[in-house]
Amino acid sequence: MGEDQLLTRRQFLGLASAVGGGALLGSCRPDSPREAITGAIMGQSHRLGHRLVQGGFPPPKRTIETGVVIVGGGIAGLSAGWKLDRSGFKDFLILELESRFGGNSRWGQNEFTRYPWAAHYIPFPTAESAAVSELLGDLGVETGRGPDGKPRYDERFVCFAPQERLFIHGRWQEGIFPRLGATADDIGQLKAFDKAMAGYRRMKDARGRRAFALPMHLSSRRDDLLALDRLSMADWLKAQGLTSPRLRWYVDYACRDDFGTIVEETSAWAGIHYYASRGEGADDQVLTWPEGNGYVVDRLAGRLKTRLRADALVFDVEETSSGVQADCWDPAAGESVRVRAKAAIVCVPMVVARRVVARLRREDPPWIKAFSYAPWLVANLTVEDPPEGKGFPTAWDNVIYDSEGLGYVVATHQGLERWRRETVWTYYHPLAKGDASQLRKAALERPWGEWRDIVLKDLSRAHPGVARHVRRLDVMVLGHAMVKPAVGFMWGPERLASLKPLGRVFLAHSDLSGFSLFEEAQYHGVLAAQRALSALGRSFTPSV
Amino acid sequence: MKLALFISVFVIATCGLVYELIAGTLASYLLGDTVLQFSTVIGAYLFAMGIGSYLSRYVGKGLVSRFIQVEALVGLVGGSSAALLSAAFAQAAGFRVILYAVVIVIGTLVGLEIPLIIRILQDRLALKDLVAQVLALDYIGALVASLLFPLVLMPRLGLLRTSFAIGLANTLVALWALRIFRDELPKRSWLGAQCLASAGALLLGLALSSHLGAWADSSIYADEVILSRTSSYQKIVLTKSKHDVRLFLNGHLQFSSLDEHRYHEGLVHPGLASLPAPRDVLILGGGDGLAAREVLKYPGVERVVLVDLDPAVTRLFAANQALTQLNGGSLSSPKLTVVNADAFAWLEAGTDFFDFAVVDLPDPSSYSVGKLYTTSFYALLKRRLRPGGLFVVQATSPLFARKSFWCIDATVNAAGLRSVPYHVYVPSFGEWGFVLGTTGPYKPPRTLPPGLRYLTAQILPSQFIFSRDMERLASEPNRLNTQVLVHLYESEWEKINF
Repeated sequence: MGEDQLLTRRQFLGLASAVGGGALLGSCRPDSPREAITGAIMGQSHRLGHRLVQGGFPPPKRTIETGVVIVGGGIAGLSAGWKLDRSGFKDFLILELESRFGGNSRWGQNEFTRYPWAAHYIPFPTAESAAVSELLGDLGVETGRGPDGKPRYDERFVCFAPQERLFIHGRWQEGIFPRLGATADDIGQLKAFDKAMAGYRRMKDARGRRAFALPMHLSSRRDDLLALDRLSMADWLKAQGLTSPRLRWYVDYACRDDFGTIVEETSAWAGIHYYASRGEGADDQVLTWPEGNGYVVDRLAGRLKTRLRADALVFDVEETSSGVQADCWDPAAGESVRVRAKAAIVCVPMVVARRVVARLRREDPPWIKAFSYAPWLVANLTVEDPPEGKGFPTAWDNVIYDSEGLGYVVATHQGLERWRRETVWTYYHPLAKGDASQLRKAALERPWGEWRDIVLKDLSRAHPGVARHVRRLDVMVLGHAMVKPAVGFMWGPERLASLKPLGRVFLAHSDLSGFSLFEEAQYHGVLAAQRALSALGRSFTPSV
Repeated sequence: MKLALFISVFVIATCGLVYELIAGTLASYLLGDTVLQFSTVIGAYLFAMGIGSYLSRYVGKGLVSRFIQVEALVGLVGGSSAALLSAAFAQAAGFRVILYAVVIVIGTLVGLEIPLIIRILQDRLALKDLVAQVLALDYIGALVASLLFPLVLMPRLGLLRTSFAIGLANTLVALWALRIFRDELPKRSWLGAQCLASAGALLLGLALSSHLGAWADSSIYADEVILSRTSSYQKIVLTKSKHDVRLFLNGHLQFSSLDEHRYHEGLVHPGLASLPAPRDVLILGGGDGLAAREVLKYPGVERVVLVDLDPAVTRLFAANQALTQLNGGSLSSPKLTVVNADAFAWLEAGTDFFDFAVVDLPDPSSYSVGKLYTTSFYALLKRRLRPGGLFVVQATSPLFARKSFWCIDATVNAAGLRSVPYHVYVPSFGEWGFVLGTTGPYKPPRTLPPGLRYLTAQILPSQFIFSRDMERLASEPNRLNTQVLVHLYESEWEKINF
């Protein structure tokens, strides 16, 4: 029989697999470009945080004296330093546990561009955000006032057009609201929603306070408004009869983008605040830079250079009879150092403050456990010949509909040149769905290769074969990225209790406002600096 | 012999699927709507294969000869299908008819192949083995084709060469079969000649593929394509007829040698001749050297800096003889320096000053070019002008894109300059507009340099007058954060183009 066959079975299988295998092998190279992508997991704060929980630091051998010690070099800490410096008080130190300053406004750089590691824009400040205006004027970002009395900004920093696009139904559309394929009812509900937000935006109480102000501390305390805090944003939408799945996605996107929380878990007060606290029309614009808010960090750090100390893990802040002392661990030298000062400004999240501030550690107040945090994943991708995709052209913010990620921001968007071969995409992904502590643990353990595949899979939905364009992909897991504006938290007793003074130790962090916004961090930093100046008997011109 | 036949079946199967993919790809490239094109091409192709299979029953004697002829023919038709379809696209109306005709011819021929092979082999082994193995190989070939085509053939060879190469593979199968069955075949030399003719035609096509690309272009352009080049930034195409040379960038007409003097004299002289003693002139864009040719008509001009993004364009217009004839060799003038850089970034980085600047950039049809039409850009350019200096912007058509034109005018004003708009009639473009941005008072020049072909001092004042259908429209300025101009431009030209 074998002789009669065209081929023996063995010949057939051997040849078939050789031909098939050869074809697959030939195709393997272009098909697995992700193997050629380099990258790493960046950041070390969670390891240092772990060290903080373990404790067992040696007693300090040396002592440094300073006027005010600032613990934490994010926006709050740098703003506190900025306010002290601006008030003529130069005797202070800012201690940061990471080797780079910036906190949630950290930034990175490669041979092509700078890029953000987290916060990447500042909305045009409203009239209430006087301290932000003052800062932007001081940095030359605000260039003066126009004939209408409105601030003018350096045009290079006002987000260029096109600002936003959304990938839906296989193509990109302009703007974030999913209009492509929307029904008349979807659009009607969007209009109703916008109208309700415009109402809240213009609303003022009997004392002239805005219903929703930035900083949030200046908001109206009217009962009916604060009652919104006891409702989730999802329930608020339902109560208004706003049931369109597209509108719900749109609002959920905003909650995840700004707070790292899903619409079901976000306080309606916070959700509405996002839409109702900012400017309208021509004032509803944002300032942005290649390195995001790292621009402000870089400028402030440049100015305060001589008073910055990186790689300084503060593990104890204690009030003494003569002032305060902050003990910190210097991992490079392998020793502890004591910083003695007249006042301390502690600009760290509550999850760290409860381990660092001696009084909080001792008293362990029940309110402090009410602060819960959303973990985030941020990736920076170096992209060559970035794919444009079908439909509306590449924008600053590029969002994918119905994705758990938030899409990507193009670092070179504010570039003046027409054409660029390489850029960096910053990909954001709040780990918002599920139990935060489990998500955090899993995220911190996940190896780089898995993150790479997760990021590329999401981006491939809009850009098939995107891996071929990616040269490098770095990721950072921010375990406690943002305090959650959970239902009942914004105006609940726990957050209000955190605002009570602790002697000469002044807490300053956006945590105190209940959501992680640049304006809030800056407000608390400046406010704490003013309080410290008062405690030291120094005069100053108040900014807040 | 068995191995040889096995390989033949496999090659035939691979080729058959590649033809189908070529037709589908070309159709979706040229007609858009990938899903529709691929679905209908695949459907038509499979249907035609059915026809072929049915027709195989009418092949009686001379089975092997017919098989060889089918192979040679499918190689020829399939192999030249990509070139054929690209060329056919020029007659857009008939394209679909030609597309499906080609698909059905190839499909029918491919449909004949397997039934014929099975019948050739039927006496040599049992039916169950025959069908099993031939069909299995047929499907493996399909898999290999579907992987080779997108991952290897298209990226390495491109559509035209892939098509010819695959056709050649089919023809080689024919030649091979001819050799294997050489002792059984009558009229061997006649069959051989057919196969060789097919192979020869395909080899010629393969060798000429790059030229055929240009030829396919020329069916899109009205005149003969004399140069087609793709740089990092754009596709550069030059066409030539008896009296006329035209430059196209990405398919957009940049100039026609018949009337470009109207455009470039209108662009340069109203501004430059108004200055008493200009010495330093800046040209942003204008890599064709035609604006530079006009600028160099002023003997007092000592230095011209030309900033153009694309070195491929400036090199071409400095070296090609037909083109240097046109620009008078301006790009080789010792007074002129070519800088290949991005205009915005270059302006920001530099510190030297100019008396006059020509902004001759592509129309604001995208956000990336739109940046060069903003308040920020003009304010930056103003900083590089000497006191009393001025610049001119090519500002699209005040007739066809009236809002866009007046938006550019408003933008120049908002950047802190006084705008002076004017227009010139250029037959190949239509009514065309320019905006001067002046830092001092402006008066139209009374004298112009000698040797102009279009402009006279008498006609000049009339060009500052706008007829009713081109009159000023109030407009908000174009800023980096709004880019209103891109939206205006898109909506206005959309109305004109189709």
